[in-house]
Amino acid sequence: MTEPAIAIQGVNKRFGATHAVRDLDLTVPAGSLCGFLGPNGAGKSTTIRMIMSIIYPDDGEIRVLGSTAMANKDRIGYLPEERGLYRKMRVGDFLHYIARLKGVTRPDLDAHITAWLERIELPGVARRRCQELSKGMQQKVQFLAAIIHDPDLVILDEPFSGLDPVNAELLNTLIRELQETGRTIIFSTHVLHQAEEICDRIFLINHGVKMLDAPLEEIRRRFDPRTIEVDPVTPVNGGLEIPGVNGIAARGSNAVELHLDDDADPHAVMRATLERVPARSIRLRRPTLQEIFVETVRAGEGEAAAAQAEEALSHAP
Amino acid sequence: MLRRVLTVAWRDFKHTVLTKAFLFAIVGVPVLIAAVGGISAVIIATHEEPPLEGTLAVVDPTGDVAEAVAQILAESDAEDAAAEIPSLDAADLLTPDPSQMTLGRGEVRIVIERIDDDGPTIPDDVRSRVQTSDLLGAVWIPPSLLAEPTDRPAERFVLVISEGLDADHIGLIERRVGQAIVRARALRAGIDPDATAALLRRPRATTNRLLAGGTESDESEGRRALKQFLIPIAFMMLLWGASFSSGQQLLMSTIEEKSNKVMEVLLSAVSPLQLMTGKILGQGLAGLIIIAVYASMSILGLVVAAQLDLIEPMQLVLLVVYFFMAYFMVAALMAAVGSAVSDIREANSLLMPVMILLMVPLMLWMPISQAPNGLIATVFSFVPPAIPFVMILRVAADEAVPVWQIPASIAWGYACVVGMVWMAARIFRVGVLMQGKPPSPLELIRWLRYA
Repeated sequence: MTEPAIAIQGVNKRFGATHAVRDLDLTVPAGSLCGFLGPNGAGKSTTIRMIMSIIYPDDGEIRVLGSTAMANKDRIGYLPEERGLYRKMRVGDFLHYIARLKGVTRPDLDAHITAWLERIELPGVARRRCQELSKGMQQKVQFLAAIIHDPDLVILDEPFSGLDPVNAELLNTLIRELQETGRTIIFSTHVLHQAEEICDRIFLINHGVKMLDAPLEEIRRRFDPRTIEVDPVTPVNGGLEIPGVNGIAARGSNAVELHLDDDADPHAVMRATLERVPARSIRLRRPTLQEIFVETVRAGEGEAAAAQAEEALSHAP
Repeated sequence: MLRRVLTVAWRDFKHTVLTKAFLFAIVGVPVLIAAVGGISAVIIATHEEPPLEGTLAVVDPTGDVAEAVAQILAESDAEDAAAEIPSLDAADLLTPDPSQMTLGRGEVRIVIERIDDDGPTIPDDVRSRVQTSDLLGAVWIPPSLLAEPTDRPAERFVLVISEGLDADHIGLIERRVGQAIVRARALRAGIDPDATAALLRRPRATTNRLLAGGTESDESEGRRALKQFLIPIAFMMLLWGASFSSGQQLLMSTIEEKSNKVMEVLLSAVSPLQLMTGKILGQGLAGLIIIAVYASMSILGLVVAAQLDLIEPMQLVLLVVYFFMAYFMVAALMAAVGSAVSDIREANSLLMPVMILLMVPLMLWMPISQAPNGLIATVFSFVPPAIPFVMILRVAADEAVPVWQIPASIAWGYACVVGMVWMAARIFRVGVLMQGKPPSPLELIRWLRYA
């Protein structure tokens, strides 16, 4: 069996009276694209900093790429949440410096940097000083600094924060490309729909406690609401009977939700529904990560905590 | 490990020495000093003071002072060529100090016009002549100045001068008239002023120091003062300036990395200890350039002045040894402070105790120069962070330091460096990730206990 990229066992971290991470066990398989999700202050960045050996756990063990992050720093790319650049340094010099620190000795490093700058749509900025770049351009340079040494493991803490939609899409594409070449990617975000778009694995954390850690598809199956959403051409009046459906609820002015029996086959129910109700659209409802998160918090910590978590997520930018 | 440390060191070094401020410090300032020195020398060598010519009226009913002034001015002119070292003893009161007449001064041709008037001040017609520049000036000698010592209420005569007379010439006239009054008093008392001056002239010493090898060194007073005070303070200021300016750079660059939020990016590639070590080495190299440039310039100055034998090669070797010790001590303090704050304003409160510590050697300069092997000097030679500064004062002084103290201070000093850098590294590791309110000095000490 392939060794996981990250294996965390029984980790705790306290800052004074604050218990930032509690009894954390987590495994990130090699080659996965894992989202670290949770509201602000949930413990995502603390966990990432411990993985990076920037801070150390009070107890427990963290293995990264089969050893420690200290021993494997050259194989890890890291984009911290608190990120910056040397304001007066030239972009090319900055990337060159970071690459050298990460052990890159290739003679064509400057050409490699130039090619990457073109790839992230920043051609010709190598000679410009960092302070001359816009905030979005600086963020792309920071992302490039995290991957310029071709790492096996890439950890991105809130990588989309502050990016405009065009650059967010570019970053999204680059992250997918990195994963396709076999790298393990971890990125944290408090904006759950971003993770939903690209992650194949989810780690949910709240108040320092792990709520979920599983492949996205498995989570969706686990939280499948067994509901079909129908948008009929004409309003559905009472008396509709469909095999496998145990309840019908109105949703909005016209649409309805069909709640399925536990043993019903959703595809058979959808076919049966279309035979009875002409519809503009019909789809099997998939739970959003936000719903899953709130539901998990509700199950683990109660209604008040769930409301608080929902509130925290709804205020995310 | 070493590769990362050297990469950090090289970046810090490059980004310090390629700044305009650094280039100005190591190229601009020496060039400026050399230029100012050269221009001053040329000006002094080529400058000719305008001659002092004219008539000085001396209101002197007795005639004694007017005659003495005329005689003193005449003797001064005659002795100008023989002038060598300024003398400052009592004999100057009786016979003129030739050096005061000659140094940087033009020719003096003053005619004395005695005014026989016993009025209480300078007569109006004489004043008018001064106003119209017919006279250089006029002097009124109160009769009391020539009376018996107990009858003199105030030792002042009155001098009025024409508008255009410059300060040097005014001072010259004041001194000569004062000397003339003393001379007149001596003559009145029946004393031969020249013979008395010869009696009062203090003899000079020829002092020879017996050296360890049985040889003798004969040095002038001036050279002895240079070796006892100026050379040691020059060595110490060189050490202090270079280590402090490099330490300051280290502080600024650490604060910059924190305030630019680039610190965590760096910590993903290097450990805090590697980062701090690299930064300290990089800035230390920049400091070594500063000390090399200024030491070379000083040596060049000594060569030009034919005084190179004032310093010995071993002193230069020890300068480098103590520079690194001083720099590492200052750097450890600065790295700890820099890592704990987010901007330079926050650093000020933490820098205060550091600055007081670093000022101690400066305050000890005089007592240590007076007694390089005294109790204060010996004790502070083993108290960090004063060790390198005090030791460089002592080894640069004329008096030999007991042989065991130099290796002992080096061994103990570098042991202290290891301890200070270790403590700084612990503070650095906690501090670089801290944001928000800066810690108090007590909190910094608490950080030492954190893992």
